[in-house]
Amino acid sequence: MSSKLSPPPWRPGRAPIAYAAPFATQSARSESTAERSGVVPRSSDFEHFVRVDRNGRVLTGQGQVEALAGLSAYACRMSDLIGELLQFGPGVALEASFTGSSVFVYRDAGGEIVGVQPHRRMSLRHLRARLNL
Amino acid sequence: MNHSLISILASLRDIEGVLGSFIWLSDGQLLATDMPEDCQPKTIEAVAARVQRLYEAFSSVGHGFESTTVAFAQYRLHVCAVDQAFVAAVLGSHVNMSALKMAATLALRELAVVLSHPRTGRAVLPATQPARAPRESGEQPLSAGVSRSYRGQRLPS
Repeated sequence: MSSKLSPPPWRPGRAPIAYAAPFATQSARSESTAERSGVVPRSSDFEHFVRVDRNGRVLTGQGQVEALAGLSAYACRMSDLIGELLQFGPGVALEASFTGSSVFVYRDAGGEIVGVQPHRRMSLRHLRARLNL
Repeated sequence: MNHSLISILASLRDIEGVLGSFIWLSDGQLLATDMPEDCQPKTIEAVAARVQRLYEAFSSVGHGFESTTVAFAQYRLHVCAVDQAFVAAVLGSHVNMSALKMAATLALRELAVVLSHPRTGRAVLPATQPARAPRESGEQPLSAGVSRSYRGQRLPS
């Protein structure tokens, strides 16, 4: 057990905003080592997924697109407001856990919002690590 | 502020990387905080209101909401719910999430006990029904004088 450290300064410095790496735009990319190893999730790993632009337009999706699009956009906005209040900067990603399932929402480097609900069989470890959750 | 609630929040500090935490009720009432002094109660209440809307949005699409984690560039906010109460923990970038989730589970269990306790629970939970005025001496309760029966047999009062 480590000894208790004094908490870091409450207000963070002006660090560059970290964005989660997109993983739903991989079709155009060449297959990397990570993709071959199965670390990078594919759209087939998700029961539902959606990609929404800054204005709320659905760009791509699968499954319950409309419901997930609304939820993702709203969750992103709420996380931005929470970050603003706490002076943490905008939200990067979020996870909501339900009994037996999870929903992940993140904003990619292009500012588009991605919402995914993975299949139950999918391991969430890599996804959480990727989104810093 | 209730000492039981403070000790619940203090237990979360045992996890390295927890910078603070707070508890509030679904009606927005802030029950206890263990946040740095720089963070004003008004700010915490505003955060709680946003988190609750987030919770309601998630509840509208999924069943059995357990928790949510919001990640920022350097910080994270982990929120879990029990009964009518929510517990939020502000986390640094390096925190053992598995340990935190276990600590949060224990904290929620303790919180449920505190809220269900007849004395402490009544003190913190909002009344679900308005308090009744004391009966006047001549007034009888509604059940008075009403005979009770079971399968046609009158029961002794």
